[in-house]
Amino acid sequence: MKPTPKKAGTMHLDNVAPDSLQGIPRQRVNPPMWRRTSDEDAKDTWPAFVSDLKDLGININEGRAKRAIFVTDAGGLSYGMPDGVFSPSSATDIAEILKAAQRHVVPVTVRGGGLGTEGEAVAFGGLLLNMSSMQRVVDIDAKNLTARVEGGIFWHELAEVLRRKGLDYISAPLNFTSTVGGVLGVGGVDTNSPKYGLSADQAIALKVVTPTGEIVECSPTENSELFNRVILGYGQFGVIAEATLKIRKFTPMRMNYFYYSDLRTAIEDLRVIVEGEASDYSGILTIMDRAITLLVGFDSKEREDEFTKKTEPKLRGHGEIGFGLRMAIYYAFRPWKIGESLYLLKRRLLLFPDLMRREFTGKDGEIVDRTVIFSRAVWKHWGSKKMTIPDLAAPEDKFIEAVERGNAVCKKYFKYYTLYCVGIKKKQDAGDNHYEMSCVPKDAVNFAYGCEFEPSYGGGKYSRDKLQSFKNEIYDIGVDMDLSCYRFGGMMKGYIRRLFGDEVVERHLKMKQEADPAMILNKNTVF
Amino acid sequence: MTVETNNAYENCTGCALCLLNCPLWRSTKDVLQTPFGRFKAMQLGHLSEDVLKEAGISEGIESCVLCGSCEVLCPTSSAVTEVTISERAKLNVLSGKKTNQKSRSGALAFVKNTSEKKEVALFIGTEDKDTLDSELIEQAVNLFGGKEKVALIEARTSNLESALAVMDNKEIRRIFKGAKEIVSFEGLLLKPLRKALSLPKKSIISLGERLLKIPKIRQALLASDLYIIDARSYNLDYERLVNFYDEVKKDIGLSMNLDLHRSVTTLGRDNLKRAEGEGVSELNLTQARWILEGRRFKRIVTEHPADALIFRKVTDVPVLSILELAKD
Repeated sequence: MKPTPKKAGTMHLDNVAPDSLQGIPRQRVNPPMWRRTSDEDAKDTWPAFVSDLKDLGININEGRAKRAIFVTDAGGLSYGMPDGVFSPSSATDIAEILKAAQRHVVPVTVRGGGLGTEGEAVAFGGLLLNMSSMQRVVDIDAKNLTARVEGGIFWHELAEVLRRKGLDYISAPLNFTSTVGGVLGVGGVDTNSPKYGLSADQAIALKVVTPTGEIVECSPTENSELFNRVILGYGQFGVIAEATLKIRKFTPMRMNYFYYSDLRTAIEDLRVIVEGEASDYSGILTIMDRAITLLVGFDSKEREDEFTKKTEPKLRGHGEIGFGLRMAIYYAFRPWKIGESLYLLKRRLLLFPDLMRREFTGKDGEIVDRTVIFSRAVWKHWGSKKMTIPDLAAPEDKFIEAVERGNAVCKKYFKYYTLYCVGIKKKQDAGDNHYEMSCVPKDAVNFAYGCEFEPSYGGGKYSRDKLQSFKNEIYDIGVDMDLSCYRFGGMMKGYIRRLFGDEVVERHLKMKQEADPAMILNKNTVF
Repeated sequence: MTVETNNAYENCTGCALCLLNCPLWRSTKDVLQTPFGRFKAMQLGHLSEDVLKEAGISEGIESCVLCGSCEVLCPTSSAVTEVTISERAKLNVLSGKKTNQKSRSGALAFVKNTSEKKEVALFIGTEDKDTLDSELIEQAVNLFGGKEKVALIEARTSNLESALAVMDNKEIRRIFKGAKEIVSFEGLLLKPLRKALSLPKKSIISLGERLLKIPKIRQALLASDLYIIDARSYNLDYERLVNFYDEVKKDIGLSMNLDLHRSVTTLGRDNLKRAEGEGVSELNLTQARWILEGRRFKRIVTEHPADALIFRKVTDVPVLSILELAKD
């Protein structure tokens, strides 16, 4: 029997109701989502919740220092303090937590690596469930190329274990401390997503703890409805305790770079590569819209040779020397842009050596540890205590316009910024509603494209309001062009109905209410 | 706390990369015991004494093996080890321990000899000496030219980190006067020695690096060996050593205890001296098993002789220290 909330009104059951959409909440700083101390009915709730769990041998850590670790996320703009933290070691632990949370109507915020930017994994009161304690590789089937892992495992840990056996994961975000469970819930985009799709599409089975505390094995053939809800479900329909992932043989990556000074041309060439399935890895990384690098990678020399023969002649990018000369000529006639040219040069000199570090490359220059290189570079050159990375996800035919409009917004707000563009292959046998309310836009046919817009602060001071306004303006493009976004939860949840439409949101809300009667799991992240 | 160490935690972005090769994280899965957890707590107003007293944080400070793998991974290049040493010294004072009181009177209190009139100074900590066969130390002395040329300098403190925190440059210069080369068993000492002395970096090196430069030693290593690099020596000198060890690896074809980031996975040998009973803690064993997991090898060769003691607890394959390779 599913428990029901103690009292209607203790927590709002529908905070995506139409009346919640008046205006876009620009920031969330300790909102009163759970007034356990000021609500007469709720004031004893927390101690009772903690006590119940203690009786079961589950000790919630209420120490201030422990709670303070999780006060914000990688974005650093959303702040909230949990009342307690628990680091589970099994699905049973999670089940007991969620059962008690349903009984006492205590919000439970699940956190993996905490690498969201919109406060999705920040607990505004209630319990923070720190999944990073569940880091085990349960089993590796080298014959059938699958790995069973615990949901809180860092992709790095999985890579370490697999690599010793000559194996590798298929697709993971370029960030080693993101967790498998967290990524399966939102998507996961790698430079090989044009070939393999989202990281979430590599999952073939899950052990899920439902919001009411049942432990359920699910897959596309067993409890498939739950499986489909949890994958790309933004953590709303259950906690991933274990996952079985497709894996592959390890191969180093052979990398090619093409340079552009025109954004549209570079994106058109990216589309040629992605839609022609001409490479194993691809993506665009820019310094503003002046120095654009198209990265093209391969798993084998044969693939690279085929690309060189068939696709490279169609591309309009330059080699490094040719591009350098063009840039030199361009800026020689524009002396008033000396500051910009020096910035480009400095950025180039700082960043590129880190992308080609000797210890991470093989004897033929192939990249042995692509995620190591990219993950380190991302944090070193883009990381900061405040990170703002709004994004747009578009179908094939709308991508160029989306990036150009987003680029114009970047220019309006910041002197320096970076764009990161990548293609995502859609899973063809996924079913009608697989990508519903996800980062993959509904009208993408075979491929979706994503673009992240990240300001480079360069020591500049920016107000939270400015950063939030920037994000809003990017997302307004998404609404206007009927696109999707990767980071639509947390602080950006005001866009959910506008991006996905009332009908879809209502349907998902209904499913959520059925699955989570007290609406305690990752409350306020989406619903 | 100095401005430098203060910046280390102020600069922390919360990326948590420092967890990736942290032996405490692998062993406890307690974020609070890791640099990430401590630094975030400090950023959130848990400064100095408050932090140190709180359960979990103080355990992390005390248990940290100072392997430096977090520093290799930290994108802001935070001096995590220095902060930890500083915190540990404070914790000792707060808890009434007197471990660094003698050291405060000067380096003479913990150093047995000076290197005057000797070309090579071989620096060894008391803890290292206690875990080593005296024959091995003699072997090292002979490899570097014998007693005529080599001065064996012994640190006689039970808390090397605290001693380091108060080490006086003038005293260091006095102790190592005349030495043209300093070889240290203890990686933590390399940085302060380089800071204090005017010798070139390549003349103040770890035991492992020095031995690997001897052709006889290199020739004795096999492609089927698992070579265990001493974490402190390597991680705290990563930028200089990463390519040196990669060359050794490629040259011989052996495997090493490096992770994907090319930081060294430590055995947590520092815990050896703290552990009771047989001198090997659960952390040591966890790390040893993790280093061996999934790797293929026929023999283990450890750079630091004390590491061999730990591996012998978890594997049946032959384990020897690199110094033993020099035996005829």
